Amino acid sequence: MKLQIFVRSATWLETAGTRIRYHRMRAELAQLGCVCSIDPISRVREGLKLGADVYLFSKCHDAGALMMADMLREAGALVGFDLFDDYISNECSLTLSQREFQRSLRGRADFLLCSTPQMVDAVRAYDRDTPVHVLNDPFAPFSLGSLVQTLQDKVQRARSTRCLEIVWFGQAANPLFPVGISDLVSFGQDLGRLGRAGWDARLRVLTNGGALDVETLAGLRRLPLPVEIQEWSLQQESTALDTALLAYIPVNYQPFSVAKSLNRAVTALSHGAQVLSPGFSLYAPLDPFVYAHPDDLLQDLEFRELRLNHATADSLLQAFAGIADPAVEALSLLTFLNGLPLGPLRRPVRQRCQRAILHGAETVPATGSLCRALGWLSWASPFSGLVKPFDAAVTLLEDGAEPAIILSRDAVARLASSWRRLAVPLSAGGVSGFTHRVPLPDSPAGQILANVNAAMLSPGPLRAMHYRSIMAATEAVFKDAFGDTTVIWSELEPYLATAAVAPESAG
Amino acid sequence: MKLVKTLVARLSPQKRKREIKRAHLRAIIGQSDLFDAAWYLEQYPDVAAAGQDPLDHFIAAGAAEGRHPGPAFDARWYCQKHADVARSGMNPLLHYLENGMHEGRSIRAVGAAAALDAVNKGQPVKSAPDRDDTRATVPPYATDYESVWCAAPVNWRRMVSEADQTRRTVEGLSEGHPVMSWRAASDGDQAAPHFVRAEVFRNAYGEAYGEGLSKLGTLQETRLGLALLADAWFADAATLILRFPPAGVRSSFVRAYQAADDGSLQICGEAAVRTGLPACLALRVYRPFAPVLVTCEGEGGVLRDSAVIVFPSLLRGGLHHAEWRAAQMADGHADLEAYMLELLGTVVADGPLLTDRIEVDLAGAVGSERLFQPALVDDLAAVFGVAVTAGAGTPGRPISQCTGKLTGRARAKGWSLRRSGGQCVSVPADSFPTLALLVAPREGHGVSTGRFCLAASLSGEPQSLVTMATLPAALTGLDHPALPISLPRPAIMSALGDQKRARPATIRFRDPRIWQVDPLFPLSPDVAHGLVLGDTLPDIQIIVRHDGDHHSLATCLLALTRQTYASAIEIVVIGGANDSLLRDIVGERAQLIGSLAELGWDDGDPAAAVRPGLVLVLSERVCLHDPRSLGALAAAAGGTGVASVSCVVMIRGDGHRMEAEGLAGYAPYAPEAFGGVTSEEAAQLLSLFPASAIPVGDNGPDLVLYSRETLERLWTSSGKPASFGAWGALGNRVEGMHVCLTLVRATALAPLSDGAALASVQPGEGLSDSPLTIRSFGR
Repeated sequence: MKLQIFVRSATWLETAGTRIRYHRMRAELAQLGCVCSIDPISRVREGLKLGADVYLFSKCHDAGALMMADMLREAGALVGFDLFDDYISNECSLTLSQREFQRSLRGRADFLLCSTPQMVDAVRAYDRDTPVHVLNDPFAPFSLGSLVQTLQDKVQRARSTRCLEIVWFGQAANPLFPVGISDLVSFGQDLGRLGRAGWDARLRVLTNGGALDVETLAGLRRLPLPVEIQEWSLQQESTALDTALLAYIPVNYQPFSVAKSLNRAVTALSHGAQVLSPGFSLYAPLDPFVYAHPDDLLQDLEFRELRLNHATADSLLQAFAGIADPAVEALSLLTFLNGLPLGPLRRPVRQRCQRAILHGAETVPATGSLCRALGWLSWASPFSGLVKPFDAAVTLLEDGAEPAIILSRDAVARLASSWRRLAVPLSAGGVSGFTHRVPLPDSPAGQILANVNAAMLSPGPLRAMHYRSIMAATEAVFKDAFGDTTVIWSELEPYLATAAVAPESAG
Repeated sequence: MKLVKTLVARLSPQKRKREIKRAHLRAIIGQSDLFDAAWYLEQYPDVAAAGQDPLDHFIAAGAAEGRHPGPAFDARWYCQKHADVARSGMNPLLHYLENGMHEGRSIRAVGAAAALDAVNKGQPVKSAPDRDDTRATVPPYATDYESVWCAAPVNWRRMVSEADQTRRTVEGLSEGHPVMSWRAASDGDQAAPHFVRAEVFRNAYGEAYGEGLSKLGTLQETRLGLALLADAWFADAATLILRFPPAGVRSSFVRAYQAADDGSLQICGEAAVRTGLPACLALRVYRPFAPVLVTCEGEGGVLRDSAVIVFPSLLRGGLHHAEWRAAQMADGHADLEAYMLELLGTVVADGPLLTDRIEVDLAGAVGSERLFQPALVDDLAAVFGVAVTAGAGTPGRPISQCTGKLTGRARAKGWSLRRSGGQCVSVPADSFPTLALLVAPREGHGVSTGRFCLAASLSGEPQSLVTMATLPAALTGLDHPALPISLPRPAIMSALGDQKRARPATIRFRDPRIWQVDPLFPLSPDVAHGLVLGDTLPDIQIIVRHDGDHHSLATCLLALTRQTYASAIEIVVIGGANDSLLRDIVGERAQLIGSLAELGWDDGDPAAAVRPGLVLVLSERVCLHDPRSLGALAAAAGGTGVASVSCVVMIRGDGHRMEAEGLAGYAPYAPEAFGGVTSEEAAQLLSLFPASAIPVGDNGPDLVLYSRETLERLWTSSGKPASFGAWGALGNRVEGMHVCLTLVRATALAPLSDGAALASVQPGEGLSDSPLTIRSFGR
């Protein structure tokens, strides 16, 4: 089996999600006969051959990915999307576009991957039918012997110096939810208990320093212990966890946080750091090794063995094997995939659809080149302005000219014959890749387009109200011109995206 | 291409890396369609003159210099709009292409603001600077520099302290112990305030913890002695810094004491000095609500001076600092000591106290708010005897796990031994009760549940003082389902007294990420507004006044056809509508009638004139773009005692995307409801409260929904409905609550009427004889 994973861009190849979820599993997948490739979706534009059996789109949330999914399923491949962050349970307007994308996924994927059962619940509220597999984040292998040694060294050092080294690591903030350092500050009072008990507690914060604003820094200053901030890197994280006695990982109770995977605690524990995690009991599967309250930690530190110690290290390994073993996860994933019906939407090549992306007010510019690479038509709506060249567009508001459809040379060749006869070359060889024009048809959809005015296209309530009918009219006119075509609207603007979900048929 | 690869391979590793990166950037940016080489050369002739490749120039220098890559991408606006991009120093276009567009970030064409203004207003207007819609633009307070800060740049002495900052318990309080064994300099000195003060504090804790606290009431006579301190502030959540004036008293020891959780006294900081006082002393104060005693002792244990910080959390950096700043602003309190003494006076006075229990409204809670922090909740119970319990709201499964940790019963400790008033105050999850609420006596408590301080979520810095009139229970249910937005309210309503003099009830900690809403759709379009509409919806008659702007009228009517959550609608267009135009808009569903008399407007019989249900008076300049608007207005109008309802009308927008900032222009005509703020400030307040109903003095005529009862009262008071919604008419003639709903919003398609020149619906004068009725429109 060939498994092709597409990520959003080259930068996403290095993100924690890709690194932890997929890179750690590749070797195990290979041993089971599954070749796994991970590439940015842009490589398709550069000529990457589409020849895999299973495709997985990771955080690719745009019309191009949806259309590719349709196309690949038509060719008989299994197509899935991974959903590892819960942006869909919250009902605030900030996450509207994520919810709309989730709705648009319904019926478009053969399977979905989630990191936790909570995430599955969130997805099920939108899609009851698509099979969902829970892929636990695999842990990175480590040596039991060195872990035991590290644990002993850390405890000895802490008890002899009365110094508690604490580390917090992660993204500073999320643009949509109060998490990250906000959680650290909110639960920071717990850290005060460590100082109160006579320990010299010091906190090291490893994060993306560029995201620290004045407000966040002021929040860190409100913590009841000395704080040192360092720029996060994989190396820094590893070094800090190797030396710190304690990793502090508070979790709040909002849907986004409670659906997170266990990977932060798994990473900390595998480096020999104790984990103190107040708030939501996200790490319940690791309960024997995780503290929820600082007093329990202090009691153990003063009078007993810490939860993760030389005697329990072996059971930690067993616990990891139960929830995060790369080999187990790889086997489980392949078993799941093998149980799916193969290529349910497969069609012979001759019956495959002509495809087009209809661009709305705001669209991913790269979608245009994806269309060219995969032979889809790229249509501009009256709202479009950014992505050029298009195969077809509607000119509505040009002074002294009748509204018309303008076309690229390639598009003219794909016009229905009755339309091709009407095509007239543009003067001076055309502009912006357009070479021909045809008049708007005298159909109800054509009349809607002919009556569009500038106010309907400008940002504001008028655009929101007219968006759906103008887009639907454009689609109807183009479908008439190009024949039967499967169309997806590409719209990034949240409120227009809502309108784009269920297009009304024009006329 | 092969040649290029060969050449690159021959470079040194660093150069090769640089070349590969450059090629990568060229590939991404060059193919993006947002980079326009011809435009770039035309726009920046210096690049053309230098013969540089425009793409190379943009990658190497142009982006850093703030140049735009093409007409469709305003690089400076992008950095300004997305501060994290600016901070990262990344090429803005590269950021957009690799991350921003997938994150749904907005971009804007160069010069878009000016173009948009031209479209919207028909005249060139300078584009407004981008600002966060949810932030106050006018700082409500003087800065520390102007009000509090007293620079002392010279004569700072090194703090002399051998002790570490760990607290230690005072072992016994017997006479003769070096700690707390001060003596008066002379017999006469025993009556000196500083000596009495220290003795009162010692005795308060010398007996059973809690009972003695009420003895601190004696401090009203001795005063608190805060003049001993030049300044005091929290450096972090547990470190309280005391700064002493340069010319302090002669002293050998400076010590600070505070009670621990178990009631024992602890030294939370001390310093030994040779002369005078230390410049600064750092205290470990783990309990922000428990009083702190500071003593200065001379040779032989002679007590030279003392001070009691009764409520440490009022100090700068403390949890209640916003409350103190609000008191400064609203009541003109000159010094902190007076405010502390006033609070102390209320807590030790006879009579029951107001607050027995704080109930947390769980709507929008994430569980990390201050009211869920065990340390603070425990201290509230221990010091003030106030229990914190989970209340109504929309608790999901995880949050119920959190609320199980709240204390359901107050402890009989601390101030709580005072008499409980049994009052339960429901507060939003993102708030924290003020000291004024915690210590207020039940009768004449002077605390307004509609008044609160806004503070920044993470830093706790005060932002503004907000006064809102208290809503009837029927309307408090109109909160946003996803935001902690409700007003605090007591379960038993009592007379609140003069709101202007009332103290704030809570401090609301505002996280812009949670409070952020877009101005066009305050409630996400895919979410029902949560109003209970009932089985039988009222019929709504909509009177649209037409002034001749056919385009606006067409849009206004189109929006009405798309309304959901409403049953039968009848639309009456008055004011010279062009029949053929209206037919174009609404098709054959319109029904022409002869005159207004056919609607019963002129016969003076209210029962005939007003159809059962509700009447919406609407200007054609107002567009109900949100399809839930009519249903929300109708549901609010059904509230008990509601006379009229309107909703916020956006009067201008800015920016490329519709969720960009804007001004909620339908300011309520009742500035006094906002503590005397101006209408512009009131409008900003509206933008802060996206999903609530704000009582107003009157609703203007551009958009107002009347209940039938209101119309009847209007009718009988004037003989005929001569001025629906005219300025001041409702407030003067109709009892009941006039409400401005911010759950949904409308948009002004053209400038609205203003001030006294507001034209109202005046049947019989200047109207067309052929109004158009559109019956059961779109149902």
